[in-house]
Amino acid sequence: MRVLKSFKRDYTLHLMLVPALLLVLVFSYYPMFGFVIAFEKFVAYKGFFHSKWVGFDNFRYIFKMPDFLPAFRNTAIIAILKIVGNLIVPIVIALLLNEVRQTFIKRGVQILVYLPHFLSWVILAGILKDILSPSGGIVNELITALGFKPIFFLGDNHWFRFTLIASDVWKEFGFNTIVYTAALTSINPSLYEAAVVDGASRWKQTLYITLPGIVPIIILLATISLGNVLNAGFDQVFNLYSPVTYSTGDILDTLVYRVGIVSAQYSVSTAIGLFKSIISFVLICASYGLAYRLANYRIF
Amino acid sequence: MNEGEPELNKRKSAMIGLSVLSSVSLALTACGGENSSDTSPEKPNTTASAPNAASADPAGKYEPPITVHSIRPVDSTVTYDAGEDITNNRWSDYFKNELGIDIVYDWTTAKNDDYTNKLNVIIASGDKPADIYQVNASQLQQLADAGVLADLNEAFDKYASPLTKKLMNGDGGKSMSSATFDGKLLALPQGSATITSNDVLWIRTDWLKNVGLSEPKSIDDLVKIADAFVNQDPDKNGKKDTLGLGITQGPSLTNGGVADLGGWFAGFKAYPDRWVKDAAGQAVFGSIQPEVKQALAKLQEMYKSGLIDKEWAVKDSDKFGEDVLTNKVGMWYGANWNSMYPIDISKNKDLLQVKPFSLVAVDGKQPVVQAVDPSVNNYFVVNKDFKHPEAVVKLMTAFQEKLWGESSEFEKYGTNANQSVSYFKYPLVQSWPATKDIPDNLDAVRAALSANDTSKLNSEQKGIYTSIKAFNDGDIVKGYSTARQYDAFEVIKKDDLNNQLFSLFYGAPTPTMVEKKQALDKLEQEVFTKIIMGAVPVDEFDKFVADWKKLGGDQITQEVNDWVASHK
Repeated sequence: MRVLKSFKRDYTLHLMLVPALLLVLVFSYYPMFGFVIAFEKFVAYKGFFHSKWVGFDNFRYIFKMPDFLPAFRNTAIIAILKIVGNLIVPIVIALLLNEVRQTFIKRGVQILVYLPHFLSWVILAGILKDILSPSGGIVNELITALGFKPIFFLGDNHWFRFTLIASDVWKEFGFNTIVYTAALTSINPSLYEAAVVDGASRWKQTLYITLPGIVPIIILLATISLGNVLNAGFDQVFNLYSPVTYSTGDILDTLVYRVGIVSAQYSVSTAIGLFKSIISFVLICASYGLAYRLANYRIF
Repeated sequence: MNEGEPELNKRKSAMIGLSVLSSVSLALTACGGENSSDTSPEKPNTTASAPNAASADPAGKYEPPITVHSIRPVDSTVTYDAGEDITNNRWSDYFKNELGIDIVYDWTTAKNDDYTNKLNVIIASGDKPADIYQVNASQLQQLADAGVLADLNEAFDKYASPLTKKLMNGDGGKSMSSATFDGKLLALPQGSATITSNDVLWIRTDWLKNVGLSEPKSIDDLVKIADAFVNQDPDKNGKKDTLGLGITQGPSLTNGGVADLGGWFAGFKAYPDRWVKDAAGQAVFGSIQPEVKQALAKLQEMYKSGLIDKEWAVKDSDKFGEDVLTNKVGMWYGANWNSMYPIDISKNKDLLQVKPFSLVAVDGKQPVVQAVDPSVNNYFVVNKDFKHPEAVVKLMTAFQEKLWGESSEFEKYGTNANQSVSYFKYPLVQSWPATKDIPDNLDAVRAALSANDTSKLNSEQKGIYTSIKAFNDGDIVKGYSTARQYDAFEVIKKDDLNNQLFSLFYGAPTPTMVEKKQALDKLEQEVFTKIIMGAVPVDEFDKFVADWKKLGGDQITQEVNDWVASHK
């Protein structure tokens, strides 16, 4: 009864929710039925209903695929390190920026580090190939000028993952920096005033006021990014990898691309995709629980 | 109750209006999208449902005209005269006015790979892509299995001109048989002149002169030249900034067409990625034969001594092209058309001295035999529900008639006088005579040049004649690409015309290929690349062979042998 009443009172608000709800239904929930082909031997022109049902055969097949385990390992390593990098670097930068008194410099730096976020990986890959080239690329010129041997960042399996992670963090940290800077401004200034009265140094203020003040945002962003633990970045890897770096760079998404789109094995690639989604789902649930238990913070 | 009430109501209704409006507009866009995608593939028939009494005359016109919905790749090499584009050009006018066929492209892509991938997605979704469209061998197999293609037997018999019948069977019927399933002709193959896909060796002769060497006769000579190109400053600029043998990562290492290694492997009697006969007469996969190991070992040796670009594995053919244009590389294997791409004579006149040479072998014996795929790359198929399956035959007939028939007008429909604009790329449906370039055009043009008499040439050959003549008279930019291409044809004719080795398998991918081939291809690329770069020892090749067999290769070999037996 009460629910109904409040619904009646707020029905305009609910009505405003309808477009967004429709979008989610049409573009997120409706396509989920497609997952059924992970359990079929899908033939396009027979459709969902007439293709042969094979149960878990496709899953058995992918676990036996020689490329699957390496790709899974690469994906996990690259994605986890990216998550860590994309969590720590923006916090540090945001804290440093917070100490800058000149608004002009502060804004300027913020805009500059935010810019690469808007570049597409297709363009960036072309640029990276040139500036990271071991013969004449600006980065290696610098390295040789310092007396070291040039490094083949994109063609050396020892360096390839590092290159992926570093370039991704470089591209994306500006975005999260802005989020953290916004969170920093919401901390009550009277806390700092009180701390100054108590004789706390800047470092102590950072440690006991600033950081605890943004912990909810850190947890929120960390939890959301955990859902991406098996998204190592298709655009980036696809544009940067080559046969030499398959062993450290091939990820689940590039595997799905080759299996599903290039060789048209739709069932198998859907099975890999479903596997990915399930792991991500479990991880999100887990991190939600952890966030609640450890930091007493509820996201939803 | 108070004065605030009406105000509140007003605001409320405004809010309702807003939300209703936004959901309605959402629904509208959804419908709009659906409508357009619905009509395009399925409804064109309505425009032409009236019984068109098109006679069996291949050149007969549809009254009223019919609309054909299609899709196609339009890559960046397609250029136009002012005022023309892919939908409005001399060919589309011809089809409209003479045949009564109006071709509408529902979508196009800028790359061939994108086309294949997008079409795969459409096939996966179960939609009908278009009325008439281009597919590759594996897509053809899928569509044939699904039974959604029109049988073209009758249409081809009735509507193909004698010329088209002759040209389409010019390869002894191989390509037509690969388009036939259970006696039904489900596609028209896009034939091409197979022999022209052979590699030649492109070398900068000005550099050769600078380092005091002559053209290579064996692999050893080639290595010597590569060494000199790296260490003896062939471009005389005082800097060590040149590369030895140019290679790139392909889409495939073995038949990319630009700085690939097909020609190199052939010098070791190795034929990776092709199906060849072994001593017992069985079909075996070229990539796992011991000759490949030797070829790779030699490449690794060259890479270690700096004769191959350290970065080759991350360079595609466009990046390689930059090296060519900036005078960094002076020797590579490539197809006959390398004189047009990656070489662009209008950007760098120094490339004038790049010339094609015969392939060289490790034992110094020439000519070197290369393996090539039989001529079909693509097929043109017709949707089963389309009312006018014969339209595809008419389009093919018109294409071949206007280019090589009695009423041919090559300078109008083929290429313009200085070969800079290729009109022949505009038609959707096309197929090329197997012997057109080599030996037909080559012999005719050479004869005309030496006799100074163009009376025997057809219109395409006249265009070639004009270009080569211009080149000989000093107009480099106008004539270079054609002149050097014909030099390459000369090399190929001399070496390969009587020594052709065809890949034994040219059908659609077998069931195991569909499942395993991408993993095997990736394994091969990775291992070959790593061996060349010295990241793993050459003996890794033996492990690759064992892995290849174990991971499905043996099964594929069996299937290929079955296929070969059934296509004798």
